[in-house]
Amino acid sequence: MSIRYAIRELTFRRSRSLVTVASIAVAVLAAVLLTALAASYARAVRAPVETVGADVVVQITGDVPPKLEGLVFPHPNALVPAAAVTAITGMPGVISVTRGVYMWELAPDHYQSLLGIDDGEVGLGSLAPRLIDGKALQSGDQAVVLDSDFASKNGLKVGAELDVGGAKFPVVGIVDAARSGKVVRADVYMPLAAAQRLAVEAPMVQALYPFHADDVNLLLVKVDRQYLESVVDKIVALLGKKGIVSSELSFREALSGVLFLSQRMGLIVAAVIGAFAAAFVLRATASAITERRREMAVLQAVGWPWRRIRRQLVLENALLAFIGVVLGVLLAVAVAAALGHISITIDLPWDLSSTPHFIPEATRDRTQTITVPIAVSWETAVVAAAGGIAVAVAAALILAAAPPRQTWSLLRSE
Amino acid sequence: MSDTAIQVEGVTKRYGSLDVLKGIDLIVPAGRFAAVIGKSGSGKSTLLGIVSGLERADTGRVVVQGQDLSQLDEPRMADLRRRAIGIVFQNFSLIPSLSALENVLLPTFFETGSTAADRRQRALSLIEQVGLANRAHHRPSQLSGGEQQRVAIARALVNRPAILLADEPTGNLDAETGAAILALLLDMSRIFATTLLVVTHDLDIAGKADMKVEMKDGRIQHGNA
Repeated sequence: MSIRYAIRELTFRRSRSLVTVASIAVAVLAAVLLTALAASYARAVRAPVETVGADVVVQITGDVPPKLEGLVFPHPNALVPAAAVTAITGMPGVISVTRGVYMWELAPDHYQSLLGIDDGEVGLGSLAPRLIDGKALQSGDQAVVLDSDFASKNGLKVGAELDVGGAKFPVVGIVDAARSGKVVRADVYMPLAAAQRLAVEAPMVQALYPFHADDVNLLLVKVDRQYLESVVDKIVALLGKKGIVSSELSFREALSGVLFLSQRMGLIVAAVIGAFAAAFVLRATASAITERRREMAVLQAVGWPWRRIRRQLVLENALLAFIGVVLGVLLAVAVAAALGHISITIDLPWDLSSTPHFIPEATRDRTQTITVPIAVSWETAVVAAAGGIAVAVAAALILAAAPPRQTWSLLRSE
Repeated sequence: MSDTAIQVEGVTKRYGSLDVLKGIDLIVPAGRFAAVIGKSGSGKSTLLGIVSGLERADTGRVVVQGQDLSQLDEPRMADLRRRAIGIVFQNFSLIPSLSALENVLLPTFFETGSTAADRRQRALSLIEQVGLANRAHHRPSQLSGGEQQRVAIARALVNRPAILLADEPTGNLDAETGAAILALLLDMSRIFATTLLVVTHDLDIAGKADMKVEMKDGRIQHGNA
């Protein structure tokens, strides 16, 4: 009968019930959806870090060449001494070292970035899955694979020839590197040996470094995850102040502000909306109690103890809150499904994608667009639902804590 | 069971600076019909509120069915009201969201020792006795004033109380309906052998009472004391 009475009461005061249900539903919808959006955003921000995995990118800060023309080493890509390569390869926890040569080719009318890299999982092998046309590079090839953005901008297709450092290279493949999530990115990819030969013959490289045919200016180090921190520390110690050691750890540090905001902002906004909804539920409950003072006095007159009346109010509020949270969660799921996914474009640290600042597309080249689905977290939904019901129950318990004074004055004839 | 249903001794009540009751002494024997009459502001309704336990006296003592009300906390007072006191109000005081039958069932919510079906049967029987057999499932808004007061009388009697209190029970009704309601109230109190204490300014009602108490300015002017 209590539940029947509660349902009768709530349907009798339909407008008030609907407004209370709606306010709880909106608060739950906001909490669940904003948290889902924030979680998706945080996942998107982390995506490039995850593609780095346990890898460590090793570079050394160098000098600016006397002339910015032809093939040059970017400022953060000085020659890595062969002894350092050997030392890093031998460090405990290091699984493999993939060597690379990263260069810019600068001309009055064009710019291109080149990456010559070893074969293997982290090197040329990492490009194969992102191939959208043509074939993958092999270590002995005297050919190049192009980034899809670069290829389309320059009207290059598989089978075309590309001039690099005065030599002609056939284009054998196109890769979608921009959306691959890889942090080390170039316009042109080629086997390491080919890039080393170009660097040896490049005057602006030789002007700064005694670069030999087997030298490199970039290392991608695969590390056992449990040794990551110690390997990073050792490499930093080995290379000194000029070393640039980028890893998941440094990436996280660089993006810590964005990560913090993405993780906390949804929570903060949801908390603010939740606070407003809680205030509204309190106000609606207070107003319902005031409006029903006479009815509660009647219940007292027919022998209901106050604790039973309060229990009835709690039951009514809990029913409204239950309907509100169910509605809110269903709406959140529906809106998340309708939105589908979230796409964000993030800036990579310059050291890891060192496009010259004077290149018009520099900003675009240092960005990555990540798309991740929006998924409602059931844990959040449960917490929001529990919060909604708790607020409604607490409102009734607090506002009906004690019986009103002067009950008789509400019922008497005079 | 004591022969005295209601005993009021030296009761005073003040609202702010206004002395509403100035030392009331009253005894209503069990099974009798007592009428308290007086003009508006005489304190008669306040006295009824204090006897019902819905209002507390400032000083003095009220004993209802052998229970000193000043010794009862809120849950025990509610328990006494539910078991032993039925109240009928001038403005009917029905719950608008509930049907006539559900309103009559309200005082039985926490009853133990009987089934829901028994309680429902008892309520329906009372509704039939007050002449509303075909209106049991109507809401108050679908009933006339006289019908609502009949529902209120059935609700007041559903737990077979020893005492029935009525605060201007015909005050909101026309003369004909009021007379019918009074007749019903007297009939029902006789059938259920309840003590009936009615507050009214209607001298015709008072004329039918076993004992008449007249109040003026917070004091009893005439009647038993």
